[in-house]
Amino acid sequence: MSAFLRLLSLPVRLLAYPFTRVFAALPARDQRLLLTRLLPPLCAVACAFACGAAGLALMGYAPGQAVVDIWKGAQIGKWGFRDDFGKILYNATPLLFTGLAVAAAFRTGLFNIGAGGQMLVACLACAWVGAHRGVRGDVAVTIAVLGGLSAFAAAAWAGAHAPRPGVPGRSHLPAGVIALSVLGPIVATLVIGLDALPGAFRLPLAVGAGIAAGALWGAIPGLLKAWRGAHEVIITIMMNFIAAALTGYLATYPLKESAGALIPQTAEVVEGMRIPRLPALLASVIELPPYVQANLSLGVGLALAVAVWVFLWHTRWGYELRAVGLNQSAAEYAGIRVGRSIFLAMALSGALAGATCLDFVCGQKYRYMHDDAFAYAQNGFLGIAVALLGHNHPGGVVVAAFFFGSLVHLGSLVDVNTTIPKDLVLVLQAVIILFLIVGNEIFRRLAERRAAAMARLARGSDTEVRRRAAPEVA
Amino acid sequence: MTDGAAPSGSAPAVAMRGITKVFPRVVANRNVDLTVAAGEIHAVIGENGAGKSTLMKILYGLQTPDAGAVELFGAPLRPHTPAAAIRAGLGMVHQHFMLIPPLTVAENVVLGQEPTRLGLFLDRRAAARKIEELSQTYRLSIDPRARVETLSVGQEQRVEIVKVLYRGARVLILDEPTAVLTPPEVQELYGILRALKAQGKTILFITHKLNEVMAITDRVTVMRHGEVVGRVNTAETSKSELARLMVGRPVLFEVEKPPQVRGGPVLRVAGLGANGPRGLPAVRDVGFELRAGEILGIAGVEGNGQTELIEVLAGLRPATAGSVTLDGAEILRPVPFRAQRRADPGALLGLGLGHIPEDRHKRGLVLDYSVADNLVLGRHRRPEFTGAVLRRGRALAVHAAERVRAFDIRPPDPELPASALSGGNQQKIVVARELAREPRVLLACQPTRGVDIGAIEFIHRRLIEERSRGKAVLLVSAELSEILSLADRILVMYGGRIVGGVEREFADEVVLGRLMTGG
Repeated sequence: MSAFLRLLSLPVRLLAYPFTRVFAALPARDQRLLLTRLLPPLCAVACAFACGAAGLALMGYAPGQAVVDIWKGAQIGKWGFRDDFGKILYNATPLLFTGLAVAAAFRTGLFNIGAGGQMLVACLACAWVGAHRGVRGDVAVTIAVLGGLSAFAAAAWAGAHAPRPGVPGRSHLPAGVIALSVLGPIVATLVIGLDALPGAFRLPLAVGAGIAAGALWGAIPGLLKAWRGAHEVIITIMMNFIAAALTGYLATYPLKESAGALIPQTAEVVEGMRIPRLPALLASVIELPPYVQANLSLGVGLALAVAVWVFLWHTRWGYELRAVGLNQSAAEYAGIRVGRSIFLAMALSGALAGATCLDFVCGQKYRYMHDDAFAYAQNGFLGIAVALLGHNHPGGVVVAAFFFGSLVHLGSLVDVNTTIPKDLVLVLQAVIILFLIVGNEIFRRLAERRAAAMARLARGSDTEVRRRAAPEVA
Repeated sequence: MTDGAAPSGSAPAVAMRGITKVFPRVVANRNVDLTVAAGEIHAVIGENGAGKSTLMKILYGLQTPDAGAVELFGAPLRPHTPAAAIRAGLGMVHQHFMLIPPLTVAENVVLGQEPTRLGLFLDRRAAARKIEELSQTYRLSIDPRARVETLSVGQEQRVEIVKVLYRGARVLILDEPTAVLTPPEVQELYGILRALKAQGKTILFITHKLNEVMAITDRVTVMRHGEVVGRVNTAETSKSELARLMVGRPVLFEVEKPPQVRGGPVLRVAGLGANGPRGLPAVRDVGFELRAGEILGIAGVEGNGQTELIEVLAGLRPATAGSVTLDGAEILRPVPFRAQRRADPGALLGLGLGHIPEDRHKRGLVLDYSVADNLVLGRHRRPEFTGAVLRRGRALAVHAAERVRAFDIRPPDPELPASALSGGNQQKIVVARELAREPRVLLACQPTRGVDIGAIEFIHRRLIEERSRGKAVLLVSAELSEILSLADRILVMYGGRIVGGVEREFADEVVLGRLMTGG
């Protein structure tokens, strides 16, 4: 039986032979990295495509013909493949942010399903601050009082966490100062009226407000988990519904552009809020179709990926967050405040998801449009798949974001160029995720076995030394 | 004795020949022969990772060998499954009991093979009768009607033995059977084993405790690194010879202890109370003083509040009463209107507390972190390891390399994940880290659990060194021999209380054993 299997797998093994030789020549650490990081997603994607093709064949479609049709369809038109490229960049942008958001939470052992809700509140907050024309007197007073109170609270919090005798490295004074210095200008600006502000300040303020709103929306489940142990999956899902209803209400009534507007949307943001789009930015490199809405936020997303990587792997906060994610008991033992870490990780995740407001408001719509935003927020769910495919690593997330961006685009190509229902592409996405989960588990076990074997091997070599020192008696 | 009185005449009860089992890149068993004559008590000894468990799993049919044959009473084990092994008369008494606490002894024993009336109703009376029979034959003194949750650990183990006998076992495999027992219970177990032997049962005894091997067994098979390195008759060997075979070099059993210079008290505990995981009181009114330059041993059967006591002292569990003073600083004091208080673990670390936790996988290590990252766990905020924003990669690497060398952590690669190391080396990471903290008080819980003999010796020497340097060490261990060889003063915990304290000179296994059982 096994001889038969060997014979059967001969062609595959022959084909793989050069690769296995290269693999064997690599240092053990690189082997492990390849085995655990690169191989599982590749296998999952390959298996999923194979399954998709088989499924199509079973349903009476010709997979080969479909590939040809899609390939031909993709290059039709004035812009050819540049159109596809632009659309893939456009699709990938929000996935970068949400993928990073989900991955960052995951590294702390938290499952943020609520990126969508965090995106909605962030986009609305950003658009509101971006379009705001100044505050009426009574509202200004209210905000000033609230701002003063929160500034006081921040100062008190910082004071309460001032260094204690015998407790090194626990000063939170910087945090308090930062909180004050951030809150102060915001309050002042709101009171004076945003119109008094030079346009250049508007963009960071509005995007900052969006990020803060996203962080708040993420921090609430984090707080509930840290404080009461409420499960973040349930809470974030619920927060998605609340966010959708809240933003829908706000965009339909109090913050609506004008009473006469037909759809729920806010007023257009000020001119200085618009960020350049990629066709303009990349004009000297590649000529993209002018209708492509991908914008500078793609670059910001890539930069954020680097920042998240540095944060998680090269700062002590990242060290603490990952320790909480991997082993809460050990983190507690090491003096890491688990509750605070959970809270911070969820806020960070929400902030990353909220940063999509840069793309949606400042890069695409220049306002908050509820129906479009709601569709856009679906990227929050897709971010889970992106994080999973990217192994919850920023580098992997970047690759996975572009992969899923392509997959989404593939869906529309299938729709236009073949008779295959577009929904099948959704099925394909789901199948990839399933294969990933199974594949991850298989490869994790493989890697574990290898690690254990290596450890035993290392001990074995140490025995050789001992054996020579003391010949055994049998 | 019933020499060769086994049913199938002169065939050995167990014969394993040329067993080889290769896991990816490691040989767990290499050409292992194991012959156990019917009616003998046969020990298989070896350090962790020597291949004992793999061999037993192969014997019990749980794993298939890559080469070699298994015969039970002269008949080959075929098919190679646990069911076939049980049919052939094999029974395994697991280290971790597999009993259902709310059910009675009888119900537990017959589970899966229930005698029934009319093929439908459980025949409790028949079950009880059979168990009483077994109990009498083998002097097990087990009441079949008692609920398992009311039994002591020793009794539970006897229920496990009855379970195996009920299924008609002629060969009993006992996997580390004394790990959870008190000294008197160990003696009772010996009695039971002798009774089983007298009735012609064969016993395979897996252990790494040499005292037990010497006390109860007839023959010994010693394994090291997957191979059999010795087969001896117990009567013709000695503890030190067995240890040398196991480790591959001579082993010192007694750690040299320089005379003590006892200083002032550094840890003061008074009236301490705490609840266990189920919210029931686990520590009651515990008070003691730990002085600089001494090792204070806390002996006791596991589960008598030691775990909870240490967790309270380390700030990992709230206290319900009492106060704790560490080096003059009150880390835990009564607060009015608050039922539960806990110290801040981070603050305690800053005050000079070191803690070798009893469960290195749960508390002591982040297994997926590299050795280097684990070596700074709890010290990662120190300015030498982290700047204003970024961690100091080079300082971490230098520190890790120094620790790995000083503690002989193998393999000596600080970038490997901790999970890739053996248990002994993982424990060395924890010890290396906690000692690098230069703690004034060191809580050492089961510091050598699951660690092989070579590493035990090393860790013991380091603990003694700390004591000689004027540090205070609180040693909690379930191994009496460890307490006796290291401690200067010994407290015994039973039922959450400290039931006695003796200076080392006046302590021996008998005295401590009596205290450990509450007498």
